[in-house]
Amino acid sequence: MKFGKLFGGSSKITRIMYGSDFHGSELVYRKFISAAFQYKADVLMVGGDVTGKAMVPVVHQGGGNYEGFLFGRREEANSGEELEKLKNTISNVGFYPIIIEKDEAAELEADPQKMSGRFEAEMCERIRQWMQLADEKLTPAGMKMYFMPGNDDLYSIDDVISEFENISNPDMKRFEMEEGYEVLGLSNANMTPWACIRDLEEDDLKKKLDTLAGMVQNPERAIVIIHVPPYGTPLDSCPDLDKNLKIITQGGQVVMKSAGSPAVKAFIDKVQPMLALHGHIHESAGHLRIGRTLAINAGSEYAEGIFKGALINLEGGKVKGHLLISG
Amino acid sequence: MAEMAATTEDRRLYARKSSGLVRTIGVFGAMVFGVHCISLSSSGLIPFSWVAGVWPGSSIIGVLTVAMIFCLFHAYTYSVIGATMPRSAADYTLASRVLSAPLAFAASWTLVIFSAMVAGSLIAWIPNTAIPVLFRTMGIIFNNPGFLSFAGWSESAAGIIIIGSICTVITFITMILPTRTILRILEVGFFLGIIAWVILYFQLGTAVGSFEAQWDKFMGAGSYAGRIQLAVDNGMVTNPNVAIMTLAGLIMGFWIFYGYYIPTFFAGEVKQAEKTLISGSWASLITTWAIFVVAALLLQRMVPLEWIAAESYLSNAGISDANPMPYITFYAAILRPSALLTWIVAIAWVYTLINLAQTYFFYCSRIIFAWSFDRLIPEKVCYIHPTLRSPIVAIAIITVIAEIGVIDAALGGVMGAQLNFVFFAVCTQLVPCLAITLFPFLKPDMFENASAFVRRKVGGIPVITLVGCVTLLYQVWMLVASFLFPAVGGRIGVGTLGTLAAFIISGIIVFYAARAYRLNKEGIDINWTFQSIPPV
Repeated sequence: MKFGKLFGGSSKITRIMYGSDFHGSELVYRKFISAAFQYKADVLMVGGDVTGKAMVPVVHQGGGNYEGFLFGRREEANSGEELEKLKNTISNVGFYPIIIEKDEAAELEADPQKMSGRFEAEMCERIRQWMQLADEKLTPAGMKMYFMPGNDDLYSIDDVISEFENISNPDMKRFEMEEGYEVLGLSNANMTPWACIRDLEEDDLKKKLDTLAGMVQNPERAIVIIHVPPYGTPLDSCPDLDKNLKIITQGGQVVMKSAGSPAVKAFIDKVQPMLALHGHIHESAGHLRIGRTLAINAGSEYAEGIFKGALINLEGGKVKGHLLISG
Repeated sequence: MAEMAATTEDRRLYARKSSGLVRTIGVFGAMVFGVHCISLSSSGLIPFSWVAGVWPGSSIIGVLTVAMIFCLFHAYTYSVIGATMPRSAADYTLASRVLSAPLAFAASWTLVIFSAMVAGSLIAWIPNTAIPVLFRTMGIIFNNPGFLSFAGWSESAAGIIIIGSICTVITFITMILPTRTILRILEVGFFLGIIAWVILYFQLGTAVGSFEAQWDKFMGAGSYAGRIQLAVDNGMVTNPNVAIMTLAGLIMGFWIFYGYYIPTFFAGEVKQAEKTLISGSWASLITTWAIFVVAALLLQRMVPLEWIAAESYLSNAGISDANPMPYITFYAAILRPSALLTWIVAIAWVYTLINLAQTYFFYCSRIIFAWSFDRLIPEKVCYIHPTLRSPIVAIAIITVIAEIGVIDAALGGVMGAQLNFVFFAVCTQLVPCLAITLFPFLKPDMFENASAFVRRKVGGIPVITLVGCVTLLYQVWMLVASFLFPAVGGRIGVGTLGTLAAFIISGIIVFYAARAYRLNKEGIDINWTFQSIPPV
């Protein structure tokens, strides 16, 4: 006998499937969509950092033969089928395969503007494909998706997201869900060693959070998606780096430090939303209670092709239960 | 526009300026923690005080070398586990997703409980072995009856419980300090351990007289010459079957090197886990093997193996009238007596034994956190103290179990408990090792998307399946040998097997109780977290 039957059913539950930090991984995003169906989610939420970090040039060597390097290893494709497979492999780890001729590659490398433009186009195109996939799969099933960028994502992808009616970007916006729940978000992060496009100084981040706090109408039913986790919690612990961005070790252990935002912690302490969803620190998947707020960082293992997410059951204005999943 | 950050690396990768591109932990860093988990102190004593005397005539270097080679396979297996599931408690995480969640949890549950108890028995080794050996050494060399008397009291049941409990409290306090402080304590311990071995090498390499003369000077005239005969009179038989004793010695070898794979439990904190884990575990294995082998060579330069075996045999056989001192620290101390050097070694030994217990506390707490992520235990167990930023509840639970280990060691026998640990550890490791061996076939989609290190093949067969089979054979042999050779197997009896069964069954009960609770109260099925998610 199944436990569910043993203990009987209950009242209407709204189930959220949350994921973050896909970093361009086609495989992880497709698993995210699949997971929503597998676990019968009603709503999907994405916490940012959705674009990839690199392009992999797959250079035509002549005669229909192609060559590219993935993680330092030479990969060859000598037929159309092999080329498709190589493109998929590259896309699955979050990179963008670009099929180019040798002279085209040289041209790109010589022109930083052109290189950046190509990168931006690749990122936007993949996001557009993802939105189309979501639209195709989710809309007929009556599922809604909230898809927010993160500090690593260019602002131009916001425009791509906005092209799709059934997909909402909650970055500094407020949306109402059924049962009186409301969704708000913030894509920015405090400054990282990489000074990413949406990184802000802590004071500026605080100002945006103050504005966000003013937008919250019913904290007891509010879901806030804030890319960066609260400072000084188990959700924001990551390896400390030296000035060369190398991990610092001591006693043979990685030295960890808090990399979250004090302003986010203060926001949660003050506003006390029902649910706070975070990402940003891949190593720090977890969950904790901050007052009445359940804060979750789903973490990320996109490079391994593993989707890490969180299932959250809402019932009667409360988080009834939650579970971190991976697969 | 995307801002380009990295070079084009010879047309291999066009990287943009974004977070987290290059973050690796060096081989040295990974090796240091592996060495800590192996322990330069307790493991450094075993080859001379225990291995030599179990089968007199066996080669210390031979057993160390064969065991180290088999451990390389085991280390590879665990490195692949960490690379496949780069997160806390990778072994539990992998086995629960690939093989069976209840079984994986039960195995992990058993490993944690027994590891915490063994942490206690290791702490108990401070009053039971480390302090008596070092104080007896100083008592003999410097003719100090007070030291000899203290050594005797220290190894009594009362001494073990009192000193052991104090050390347990010290371990608890040091483990709830901020992580950076704990790491500093570990770092100091690593260098203290190295300094201690440099001192031992110096003493073994610059003896002020022959070994026989120095031994007789402190242990009595004619003592050296009569040692082998005394052991024979007490039942020592030299030269058994070399192949069999080497194979049986694999249990002891695994015990000596146990710990090199523990960084796998922290796989979530390292980047490029596939490189870091394999290089760290192999480097720590080879480094400690080299440290112990160099000591054995220096000693065997002056003393025949048979004599070392006799001294070890007298100790193992409990011939206390003979006042056996089969310890490398004692041999070194009598060859070049120095109060200062002996004190430094003594402090380093006690310090690194506490370090060893700390590593056990460390990895147990990480595994507990992994259970919490899967909602198998109450969240309060993983409460993080807001000021100390440490998992104070989890550490307190481990401390209580460790204290039970201290008392068990005082009333039972540390050696037996630790050899039983090999049996327990191997039983629990069978689950993740079987999971990774079958991983390419049970989860082909995940295997195909894993890193190149995990996907490596030879002749079309996954390397991890081949290496996993060798590891499983090694483990099965250790289980079989535990029964065939009780002298090294910890004398597994009904009580041991019953305890193992009770731990495993209690783990399965906890799993299903947690599942029922979450389903009933939260509408969440814990089993979801262990399922594969195919892409659309």
